[in-house]
Amino acid sequence: MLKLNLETEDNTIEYSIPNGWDEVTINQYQELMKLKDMDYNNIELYIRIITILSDIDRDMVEDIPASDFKSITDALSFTQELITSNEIKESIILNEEEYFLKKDFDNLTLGEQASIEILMKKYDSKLELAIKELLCIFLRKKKENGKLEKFKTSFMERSELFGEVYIGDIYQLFLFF
Amino acid sequence: MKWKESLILRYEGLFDNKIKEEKENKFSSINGRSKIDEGFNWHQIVYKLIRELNTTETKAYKMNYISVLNWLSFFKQKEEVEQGNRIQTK
Repeated sequence: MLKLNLETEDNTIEYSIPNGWDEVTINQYQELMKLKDMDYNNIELYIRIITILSDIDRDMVEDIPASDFKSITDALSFTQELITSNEIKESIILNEEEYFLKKDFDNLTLGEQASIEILMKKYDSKLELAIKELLCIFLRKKKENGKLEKFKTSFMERSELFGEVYIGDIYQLFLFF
Repeated sequence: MKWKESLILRYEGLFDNKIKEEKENKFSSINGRSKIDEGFNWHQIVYKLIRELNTTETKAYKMNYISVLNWLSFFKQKEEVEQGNRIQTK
């Protein structure tokens, strides 16, 4: 993460800005994707990108000195590039629980495949909108015997939690879709 | 190759039929309900598995998807052969 100190009238606040896709959460990625269809000029676009990725209030972003703004936009230029990641992670830890990626597509059940297709249809095949919910099918805890838990429709309730997964950690999985 | 594309190639006969059915379904509201709504596609598959394999809905959903596609291909070919035999005996 890139550290950023912003001065307010009273004090200095430290913010963090992602350095690459491996530090951008799915929730943030989905917000960024919404900007794709908007016709913003470069400055407006980067104000919105900074707001999404740093949680800095828009008012404060607008107060960033021009020289700092330039270095921040340079650091965020990765958002204009395709997501790259070396390999799919084996597991991800969220709320102190480990979730393992089910990567073997040939072992999907009829129920899992049906859920995938229903989700893709729900989001008009827009993968970026479906990712959080698709992860409910692909991220599983391990049982005591070391096997992945069997899919249940109640797993779909985990989608909000999976919004905090870094997009760079799992994106390769979705290149197969 | 993408997962769905590879399945469509491997089970061309099954998916060809599905595409044709989807086109026909578009006319179902005009001509009255002669086809089941597209939203019930998965139910049709499960219904067929329950009938043909004498299984339950829960067990059908737990079946391996590739295995399901193999069974559906088999059912389709079996129906074609039986239909051909019926025409010949008439």
